[in-house]
Amino acid sequence: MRSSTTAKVIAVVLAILMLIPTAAYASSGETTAPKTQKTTMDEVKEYLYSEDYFTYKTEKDAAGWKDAAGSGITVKAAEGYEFTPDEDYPEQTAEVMQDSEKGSVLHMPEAGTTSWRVNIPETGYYVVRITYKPFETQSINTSNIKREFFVDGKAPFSESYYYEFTRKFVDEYNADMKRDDGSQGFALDKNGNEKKPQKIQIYEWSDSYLMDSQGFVLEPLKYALTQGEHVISFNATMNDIIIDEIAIVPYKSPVSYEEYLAQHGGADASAAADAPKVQAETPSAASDLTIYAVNDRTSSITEPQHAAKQLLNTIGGSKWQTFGQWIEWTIPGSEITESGYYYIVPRFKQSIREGLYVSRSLTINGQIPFENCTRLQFNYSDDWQCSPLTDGEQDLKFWFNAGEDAVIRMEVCYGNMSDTLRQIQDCIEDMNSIYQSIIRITGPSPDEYTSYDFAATIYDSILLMRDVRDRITAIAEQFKKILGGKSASDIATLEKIAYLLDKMSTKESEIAKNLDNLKVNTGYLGTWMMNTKLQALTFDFISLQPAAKPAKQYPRGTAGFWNAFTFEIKAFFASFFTDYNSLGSVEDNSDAEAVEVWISTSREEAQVMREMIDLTCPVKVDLKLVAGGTLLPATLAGDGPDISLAMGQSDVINYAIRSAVEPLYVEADGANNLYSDYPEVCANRFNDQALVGLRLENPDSLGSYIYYGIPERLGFSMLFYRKDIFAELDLEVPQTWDDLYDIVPTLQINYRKIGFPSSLGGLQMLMYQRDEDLYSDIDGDGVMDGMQINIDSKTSLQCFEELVTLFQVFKFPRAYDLATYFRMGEMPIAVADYLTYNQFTIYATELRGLWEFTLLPGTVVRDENNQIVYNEDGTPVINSNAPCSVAATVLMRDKSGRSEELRKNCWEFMKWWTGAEAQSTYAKQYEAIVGMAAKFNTANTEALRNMSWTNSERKNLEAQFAHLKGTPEFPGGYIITRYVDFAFLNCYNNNADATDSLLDQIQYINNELSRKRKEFGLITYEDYKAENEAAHPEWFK
Amino acid sequence: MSQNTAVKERKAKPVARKDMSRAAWTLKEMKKNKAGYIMIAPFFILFFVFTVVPVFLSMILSFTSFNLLEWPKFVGLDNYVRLFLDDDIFLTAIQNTLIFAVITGPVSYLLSLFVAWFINELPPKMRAFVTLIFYAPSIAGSMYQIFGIFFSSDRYGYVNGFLIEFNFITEPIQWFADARYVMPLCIIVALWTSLGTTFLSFIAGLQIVDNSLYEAGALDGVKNRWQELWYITLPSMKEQLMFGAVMSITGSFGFGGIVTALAGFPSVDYCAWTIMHHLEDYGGQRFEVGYSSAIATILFLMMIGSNMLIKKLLSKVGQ
Repeated sequence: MRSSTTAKVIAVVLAILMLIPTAAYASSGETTAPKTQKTTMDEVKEYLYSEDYFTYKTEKDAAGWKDAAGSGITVKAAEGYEFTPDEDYPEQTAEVMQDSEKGSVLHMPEAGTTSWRVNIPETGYYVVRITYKPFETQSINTSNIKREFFVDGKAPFSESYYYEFTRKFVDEYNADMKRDDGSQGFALDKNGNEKKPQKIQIYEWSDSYLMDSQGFVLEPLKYALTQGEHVISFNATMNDIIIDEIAIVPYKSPVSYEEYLAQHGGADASAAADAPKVQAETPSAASDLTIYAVNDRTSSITEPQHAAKQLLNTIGGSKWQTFGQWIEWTIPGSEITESGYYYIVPRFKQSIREGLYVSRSLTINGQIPFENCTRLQFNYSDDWQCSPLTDGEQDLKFWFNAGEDAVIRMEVCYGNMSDTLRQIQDCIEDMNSIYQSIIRITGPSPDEYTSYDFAATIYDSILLMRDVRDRITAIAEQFKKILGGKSASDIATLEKIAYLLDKMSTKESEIAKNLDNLKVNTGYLGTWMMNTKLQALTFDFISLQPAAKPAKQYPRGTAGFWNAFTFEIKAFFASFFTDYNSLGSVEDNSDAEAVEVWISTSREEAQVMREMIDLTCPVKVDLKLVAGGTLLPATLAGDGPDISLAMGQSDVINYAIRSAVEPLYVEADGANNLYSDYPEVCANRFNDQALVGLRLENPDSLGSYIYYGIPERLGFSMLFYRKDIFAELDLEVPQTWDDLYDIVPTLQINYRKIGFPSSLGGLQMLMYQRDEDLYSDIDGDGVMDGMQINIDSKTSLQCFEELVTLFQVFKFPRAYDLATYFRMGEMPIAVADYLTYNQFTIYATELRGLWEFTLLPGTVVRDENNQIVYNEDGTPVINSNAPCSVAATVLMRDKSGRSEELRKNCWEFMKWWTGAEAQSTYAKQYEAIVGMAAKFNTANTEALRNMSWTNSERKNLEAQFAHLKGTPEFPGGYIITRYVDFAFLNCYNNNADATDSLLDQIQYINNELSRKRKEFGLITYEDYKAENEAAHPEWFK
Repeated sequence: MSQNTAVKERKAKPVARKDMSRAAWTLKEMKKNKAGYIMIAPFFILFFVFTVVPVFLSMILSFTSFNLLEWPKFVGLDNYVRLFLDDDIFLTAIQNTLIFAVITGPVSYLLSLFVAWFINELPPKMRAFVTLIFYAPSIAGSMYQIFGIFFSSDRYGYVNGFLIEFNFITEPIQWFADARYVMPLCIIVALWTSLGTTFLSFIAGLQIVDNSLYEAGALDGVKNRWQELWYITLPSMKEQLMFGAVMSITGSFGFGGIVTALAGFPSVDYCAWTIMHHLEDYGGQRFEVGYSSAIATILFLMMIGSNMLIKKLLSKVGQ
């Protein structure tokens, strides 16, 4: 046992020794290179070690803090502010504007810090309320506004970094579209199905307290402020905002239900009074673009319902499930005929959280009527329900005045579960840190027979384990109470974890044995947490029922047997006559000038696109949802579409060299091209590297290109790292490879791994950072000719050598499950496609703020004499290129020949679809399909910028965007990945020599390239050599 | 036996075969058995259009250069010449395919036979249940993916995890990305999934053996179960044996999908590259359908050849 430890130590020492040559080579560049790191680790640490609100509040409470008395202080934002611009966005500045309603107000830009000096009249707790409205910009911006709030330059607790302010969207209805019962209806498509209305954003003033954006605290967050002058500031993290006032006031909690009843006194509305009803699918406003009416066919009495047609008869479901999303309905005063108490009775469906309830908070006309309204409960049932709003203990009645409009707003919250969820989140964080502390001693696969002496080394963690065990046991008890004795998997998960922690914390020998278990269970708990936080709820209608009316007379929740039976029968027969496949368009689009477009994504995505086309596309489009892989046979049969979407770059060129894709632009023809605006369109929209993979050299005019598609999606890698672990190990984020080599030993001593692409992916990255091309350029004119592969050049071989060293010497893993490794902190740094962002954001919510993606480590640029090249400011020039690949929208060959008109329409469609507006809208809709905060990798630069990134995310993304390098496609290019992978695996598995392995494969690659060129009648290397060797012997050395 | 009766009937006919041309004779026979032909017509038409025609088309295409998107060009025997003289990887593919066929074909065939034989001894209800258990892997679609999880190259794959845990290795083995392991692993997986239709047909075959034959055999001096199997059981189920053999052969020659799913496409160093892969590579990735048709034709001929061989071997059963 001793010996294995010794062996490990020796191994580590050896690893370090082996590093020395590289490190020495590295240091020459590094001593002169000042760090240009933007987020410093000090900032990260300050953030990481700030306590959470719960701890803050508990401490302050213990120290005797109380709510302040008096009325607090209100600051007019436009007066006495001080603005500090963000150094990365120096042009952004706050400015005073004139508002017709509020007078002078302050526009705070999307970056920079705005501060005010305030004089707090009295020591005590205060809450902060702002009066704001979103800033109307030209780009469509629909994501929440995010700000950090500081007091005297510091965030007193970590929640203070994450304040969010919602926007307001309304549906545009056509007043003529009335349903049979006279209520507001929707526009119909050609099949008679209802179509979603367009949503528009409205810019109105609203008040908002600074609330916990995670939803764990029901009240506004309280700041403990001493009497005297303080500086308060908002630091922008996302989007512009206009604010009028900042009120720092003592919090007045809403009255209790009893007080509410006592206040209003009076009587129940009589049983005979009208029972106003509003259809939920026509709300008066909503917080998100993605909350829209949906069709429900699960019940025959959902209003309205039709056996064959798709009516948008409900709202919510998975579109209305994340904390903070709200919907507002207005009950017209004219329908409230009698003042008095009413029950609010919605018809709803909550069929997701089995055994549990989902929560909503309620405001009426902007006010929380009484305290219970912050924690309304909707219980589980697999069918529709129709019952009064309840807080879980009693049905609640509300006072309504006759003739007064009532605006009812329901917002997703966690209600009575808030605190429990917060505790579980804490437990997950603690379990993570326990895991971290154990693997620091043992590595990720400990030897269970080794005595690690945990009691001496990680005693704190053992105590923490016991503490977490007790907390989880307590939570399980609470759940038992909620579930009322019903057994559920929820409790089982918790009890299992408590048992595990008990075992580990009481018997030292169990710690190493159960380490894996701990990891798996932490993952479970994280997933469970994520699911529990989704509070999906669907509404059919909302009615007010006079309190005196007996509950038996309320509308029904579930349909009667015969009603449901006849509905199902009707629907069954209707299914023979209904075309469910057509993507409901308004008009008939099958005429000759309509552009036929094929899409092979999910139905939902296609539906979204159809709607967008109907709303904004300038030409008629016949959109068809086809199965993947249909394109090739259809093209072969001459029956293909006009346009195919999101085709990978290698396919584009494969089709193009077999003339199945039409060229869009021939450079040599200039203005004679049909689509002569192609270069202009592309230059404005895309990174120039995006076009590299979509063009071929023109055989008739060498040195110029023919372009075959218009970029739609652009993929590339970025560096992901865990801030908390870097801070803990006291590491800086590597900017260059030398930096990376420097931190490898520290990471490895702490049993951390590094995720890095192997084979061609890794090789290309290294090559592109040295400006080495993948293909040869024999005549040296700067245009790759694709006749030979260039990975046998001196630089390329060096790159491959370096890549192999990472895996052979530093033992980088080749195969790994990034999501799990990253989540558990085993792999705190990894190079991965930037869309991995989605996975981390959506599935590892407990890591919020603990990770970031940033520019790839780069290569220090050296000139011919191997001297470092410097920027003007004295920093070395670093090349951080990432290889990128595109998917494109292409125009397919049409054997029968397209009319001039149709050709123009095709181009119009392509321009529309890849434009910033369409791509932005699609990106937003994509969130609704995939999940909140999900991003899609649009190639459109403006659309990418417009997505809801935070400032620092956008900054890093833009930095990488400026460092991209596309790979051209040539006939036979598919062979490269294969042989480079063989070479790499030979090195990896058999410890073979890198250069030899790679050189062994070169001839196979070159043969295939030549063979393919011959097939397409292009000049091969051999022929080219025969022709030109006499004249230019230097080309063929 | 049935052949004997047929011969007898034919002898009884007044018109002899030699009196008329072959075509006329066929036509006459077809007319006589009209009902039968009508009954197989629906299947035959579909089979002919969607299986026989494509096979012939593919043979024709094998003499052309065809990229799926443009009209084929006739190139004569070029594809075949290149296949045998200028394509090292094809030779690797033939080698691997033969290894697969020789190992998995007979082994899975015998395995099916013996498992079926054993299961046949069980009481009926138990038999149905056990049959289902053995048959399940082959109907459960991509169940073999479970091997991908077992032999994951990640250090937390089951096998790697186990080996690291007990200090056999320190770094994870790249099971399906290391030329030393890919082939043996794929053969194991192939055997695991091979208890399919063959096995089921054997069970059916075993059930139709006439019990009176065993009694007669016992009287005639069959000494043990092996003799019973060889002289009575197997000869009585020759049709099933033949069916099973054809299935095994086509299965083992057409092997490839599982390798792709587990070891990627292509497998490292083409170490588990079969003719099927070669065909997919040229047909799917390189858009050289003419060439891949030539490969398919070779594969087809190999299958027919081995079928004939098997037929010969099977005729020896019971002798």
